[in-house]
Amino acid sequence: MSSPSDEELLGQYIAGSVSAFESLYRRHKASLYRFILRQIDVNSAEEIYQETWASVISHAQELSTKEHFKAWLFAVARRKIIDRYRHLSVVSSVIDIDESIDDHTTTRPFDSESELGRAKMAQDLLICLNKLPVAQREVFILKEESGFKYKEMATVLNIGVEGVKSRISAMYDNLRKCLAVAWTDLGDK
Amino acid sequence: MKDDPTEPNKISKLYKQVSTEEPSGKLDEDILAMAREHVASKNVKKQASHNMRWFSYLTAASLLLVIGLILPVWEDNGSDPLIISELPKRSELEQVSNLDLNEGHQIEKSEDREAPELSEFSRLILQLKTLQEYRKTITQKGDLAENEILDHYQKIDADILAKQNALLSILKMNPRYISDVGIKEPLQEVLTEEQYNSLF
Repeated sequence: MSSPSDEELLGQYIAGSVSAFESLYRRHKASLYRFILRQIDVNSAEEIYQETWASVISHAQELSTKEHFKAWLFAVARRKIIDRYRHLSVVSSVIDIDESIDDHTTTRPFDSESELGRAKMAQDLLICLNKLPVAQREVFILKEESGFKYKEMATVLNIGVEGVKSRISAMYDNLRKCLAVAWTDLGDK
Repeated sequence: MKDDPTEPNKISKLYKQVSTEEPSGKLDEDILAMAREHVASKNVKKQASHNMRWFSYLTAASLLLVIGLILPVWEDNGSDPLIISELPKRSELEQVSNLDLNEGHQIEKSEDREAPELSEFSRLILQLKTLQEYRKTITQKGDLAENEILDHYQKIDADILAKQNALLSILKMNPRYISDVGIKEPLQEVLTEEQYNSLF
């Protein structure tokens, strides 16, 4: 027996089922949380995460059953992140590489097969993600955390499908360049 | 040929290995509590609205019941609400129906107490007296137009006549009332001379 869809669970919650909401929450909590966390500091991420679910709780009734719940959920979170950035006046399309980031990267050769090597690679990935322009970082996190297809991503980002594709392409170019530099030692070994 | 670790699929795989954070238990609890509270408050509102709907139905039903009880009294006392407002209430009429109608004279004998005709008889006399009194004062109703006054007269006269006829038929069916000395004076007051003489 297949599990109920998000929209069915939402309908049950609107009808008064708390357990339906719990199922919906458990289904999306981790991906949504990480989507927010990757884009803002932990404290703000927790606030935005809570505010996003509060919006679901209070505005569930207004959601048409035809709407894609998950896309709506991520779009709400995204809007709240943008609002937070605006509030903090942190509006920057490109995050420059600063010196402090270099402190995290080691010039010491490492082995990609070892535990330490994998940890180093993961750390570099997160550092490179943070170096990406906001719009590119956002598209990467959305793709990885939500598992959305282009069309759904376009809905969340409020742009066209072609825009999504071009953003993804630019994102991978920049990310790969950054990782290639960070993992030079790995390549040499 | 060595694999390129910067390939999108490899990046994705690596990212999934490292991206494992989850919201704290406290966050989970707060959000679920919020949802439970919202549902509970919605249920309270729903119940309140349900109760309010039933209250409206009951109020409407009570109103209809009251109207149903009042209307027959109106019809009984005359069709014009203006006249009705001047007439004694049914309860008042019934209260006095057992009392002396003419200066302390007791019409009602103990054996008559159960006769419904006598009660009706007393009531008719009282109503006729009231109507006739009212008819005398009708011209003092300053807010009535002339045609309204005429219309009023017609209605009152018709009502008086109907009640006089009812009174006469009771008396004809119960000739023993006529023999009561004390009844003559009130009858003279409420009946026309012709009607009165037809009884004796």
